[in-house]
Parts: sequence; structure tokens; C-alpha cells
Amino acid sequence: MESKNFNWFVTIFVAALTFSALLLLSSSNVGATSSNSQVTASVNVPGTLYTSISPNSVTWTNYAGYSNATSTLINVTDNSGNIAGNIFIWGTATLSNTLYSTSIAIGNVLWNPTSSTTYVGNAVTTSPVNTLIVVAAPTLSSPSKSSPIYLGVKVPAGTENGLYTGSIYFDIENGSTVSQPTTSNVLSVTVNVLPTCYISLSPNSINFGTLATGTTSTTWNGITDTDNGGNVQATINVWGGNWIYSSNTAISFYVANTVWSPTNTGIYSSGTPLTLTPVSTNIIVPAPTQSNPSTSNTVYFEVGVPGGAPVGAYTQNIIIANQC
Amino acid sequence: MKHLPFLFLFLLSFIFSAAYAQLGEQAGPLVFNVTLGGSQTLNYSILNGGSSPINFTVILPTLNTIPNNQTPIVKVYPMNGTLAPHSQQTVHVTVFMPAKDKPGLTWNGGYSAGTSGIVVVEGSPSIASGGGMGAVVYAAVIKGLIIKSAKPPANILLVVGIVLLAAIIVVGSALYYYYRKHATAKAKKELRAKELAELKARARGKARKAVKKKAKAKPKAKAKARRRAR
Repeated sequence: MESKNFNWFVTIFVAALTFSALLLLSSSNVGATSSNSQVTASVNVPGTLYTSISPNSVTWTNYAGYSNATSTLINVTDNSGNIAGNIFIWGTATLSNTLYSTSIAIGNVLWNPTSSTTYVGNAVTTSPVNTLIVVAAPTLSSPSKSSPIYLGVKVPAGTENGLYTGSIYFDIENGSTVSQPTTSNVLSVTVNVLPTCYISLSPNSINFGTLATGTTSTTWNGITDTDNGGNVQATINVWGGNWIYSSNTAISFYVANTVWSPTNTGIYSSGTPLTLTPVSTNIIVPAPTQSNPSTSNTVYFEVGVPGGAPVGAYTQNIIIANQC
Repeated sequence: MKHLPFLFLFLLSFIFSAAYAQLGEQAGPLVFNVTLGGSQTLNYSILNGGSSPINFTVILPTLNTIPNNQTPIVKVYPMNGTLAPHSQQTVHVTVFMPAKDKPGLTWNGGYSAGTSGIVVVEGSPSIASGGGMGAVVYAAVIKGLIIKSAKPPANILLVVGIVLLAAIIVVGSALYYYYRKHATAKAKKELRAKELAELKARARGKARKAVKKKAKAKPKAKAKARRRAR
């Protein structure tokens, strides 16, 4: 009884399937017939801009207080856009160093439409600036157009040595039309600041005045050693030559008649005799910083004239050297 | 109008006072690791951070001495020159290590008493300037040196050559002894075979003689027997 009912259901199902197949076949025939009629297609192509740059990273190496010429080429490219646009440029507020709290302000990076052998141009800011450098509209025959922009950097005096990193962004814009969102418009900037120390002395000579034989000077004469713009501390070394008689260079008295001291409070005998070879005074010229780019320290000198020295003028060379 | 020359001189003096020299150097010691009998060159920069040029002179370093070892020779280029305002100059320093020194020794210039590094001094202080009682003070920067002597690296080609030669000698000797042993054994074998053949030949000769003797003896015996039978 159950078997008989099932056969009936299968018969109905197969019939319905056949009918559906016929219906589908007939409908496709209808479509094929309609393909012969005309269809009008239309597409609206808006003005489009794309921005990419090459290279995507740049490293400058320099000393504190020095600058790199505005000659680092960055090509800004519109690839597959269709209208001309101007290059806009901006950057992160600073190029920062993870070890120090100091940084290099983005304004130390200059841009220029032409390459220069010196550090000249316009400062990069944190908000987009129109450089007025035009990137031509790509065409079907030339779908990629680019224009150069040149960058340079100055390391402020006293900047600690190390790596400073930041980003500079580029965008090609035309009125309200800006580039399609992309990540290939970011320039990764690294500035490698090298460690340095400087020396400048003031004054450059000492006049000990007139001294009788067998006597010493009574006041300490200070020479100030200044590091203006370095970024590491330096140790002061001193040495000199014998005192030479100006009327006869064959006559001299020994270098050690001059004494040096880190202070100006003691008497002549408290000083350390000067030598013919370099000696570290252990006097430190502190490391300059951005906030204090000039540091200094002083070394003091006195002289004694030995008995028997002929009457006349004597001259000595003293060398003060920074080691860092 | 009559004050113009004074005004000019005043301005000139102002310009000269505004110009300043600022001698500097890249910080940190130069660390050399020189193989015995070899040399190594390192560079560093000297700088003029000021607005007026600097004439400079280099004074070679004084290194510590080590008994029974020669002190390395240090050469510097350039030995003098002029640094333009706000410029830098690369200084090339080459250290030559005596071949007979021991490896693992360390010399320094500027890091112990009685030594000094490479001195770059503003001007030429070796020339005494007479004419007045006083001292002329010169600015300088010192570059410290650390020099270590190192064993020359093993010459791989030489080592490979020696190993190859040793292997050839060993294999050659082994082959020589092997073939010599075989040749000796073969010669002995041949000698033995020859001796054996000789022995066999002798034995055969004796046997033949014996047979002949027997053969001669048989008719005599038969005749003897016949005679007895009769």
C-alpha cells in the first residue's frame, strides 16, 4: 500500500522537473532573441589623483650644528590618475629619538623645487603646504606622471648623538580633489647625528707682564675653553714648549716654570708644572645640549722666572686640547 | 666725512671680531685590530664649526711601549691643511704592526700617562713666535687610539694544501707498501713454485731412474729364477 503511494509522488516530481526544465530552456531562447536589440552604455569618469613617492625612506648623517644641502631627490608620482595637481607637503612635528627627550623640529627639514648645493628652501610644517610644484595629468598613452621635490636637513647645535626618526607626507591635490587614500605617500626620515666636540679658546695669549728673576706671577691667568655646538663632553689636555729668549732663541728656560691649575685660588706652587707632552687636566668641558649649546671650562696659568735668566722678553707656546 | 676712515676701521674690526674659529672632531677613540706584519686604516673627521678658516697641523701620537715588542707605526694623512668655514675634513690613520710582535698586545695613545693621541692643532705651534713676554695659546683636538695586535688569519689555501699533501703521502705510502707486499708475495710464490717444480722434476728424475733400474733388474731376476728352476 505504502509502495503504491510513493510511486505516485515520484511521478508527480519528475513531471514538475521536466516542466521546469522546459520553461528554463524556453526563457533562454527568449534572451538570445533579445540580444539582437541595442543597449546604450554610459560611464562617468571623475577627475582622479593618486600619490606615490620614491624613495620611501631617506637617511641623513651629520654633525650637530651642520646641515645637509637641499639636494635629496624625492619623486612624487601620480600613477593612473587623470588630472594635474600640485604637490602638498607636511610632516610629523618632530624627528624624535627614543633614548633622549630631545628631538629635531620638523622645521629643520627644508623642501625646494630645485636641487641646491646648500641648505636653502622652505621649512616643512605640520600642516599641508602647497608647494606649487605641478604634477601633470596622466594620459592613456602616459598613465604615470611625476615631479621632483628636493629635501635637506639641519641638525641643531647641541643635538645629542643618535638616530632621530619621523615622517613626511606628500599629496597631489587639485582644488577640492585630493589623492585617493594610500600609504605609499609617506617618506620615512632618519637623521643620524654623530658625536662631536669643539674647542675655541679665549683669550689666545697670556701676557704675564714683567717679572724679576727668581719671582713668580701673582695672579692666575685663565684661558676659557668653549665647546660651542658639540654634543659630548671633552677632557682638557695641556702641554707646551720651553720659554724662548726673544733676543737669542738658543737661550731658554724650562717649560715647567709655567704651572697650570683648574682653579685660580691657590698660590704658584699649588699649580701643576706644564710638560712638553700632553697631560690630562681632568678638567671637563660639559656636553652641550640643544637648550645649552655652548659649554665651557677654564684652565689657569702662572709662571716663575728662574734666576740667571737674561734680561729681555721670553715667549712660550701652550697647547690646550680637547679630547672626546 | 672726516670720520669715515674711523667708521670703516670700526666696521672692519667688528667683522673680524664676529668671525671665529671653532675646531672640532668626531668623538670616540679609533680602535685598531691589526694582524702581525699587517696594517689597518681607519678614518675620522675634523671639523670647523666657525666662520673663519682654520690652518691645522697634525702631531703624531705617542704610544706606550711594551718590553721586547716593537711599537706599532702610525701614519696620518693629511699632516696639515686648511679647514674652510663650516666644513669637515676626513683624516686617514694607518697603523702598521711589526711582524715579530706578540699577538694579543694592546697599545694606546691618549689613555694612559705619557701617551698622547693624534693631535690636530690650530696653526703651527712648533714655530716659536718671539717679540714679546708671554705665552701664545693654541687650540687643539686629540683623537685617542687603541691598537691591538692580532694573529694573522690562517691561510685556508695553505692549510688545504698541507692536508692534501699529507693525504697524498699517506695514500702513496700505503699503496707502495701494498704493492710491494703483493710483489714480494708473488715473487716468493713464484720462487716456491719454481722450487717445487724443480723438486718435482728431481723427484720425477729419481723415479725414472728407479723405474729404469727396476726395469734392468727384472730380466736379471727372471733369469736368476729360471736358472734356479732349472
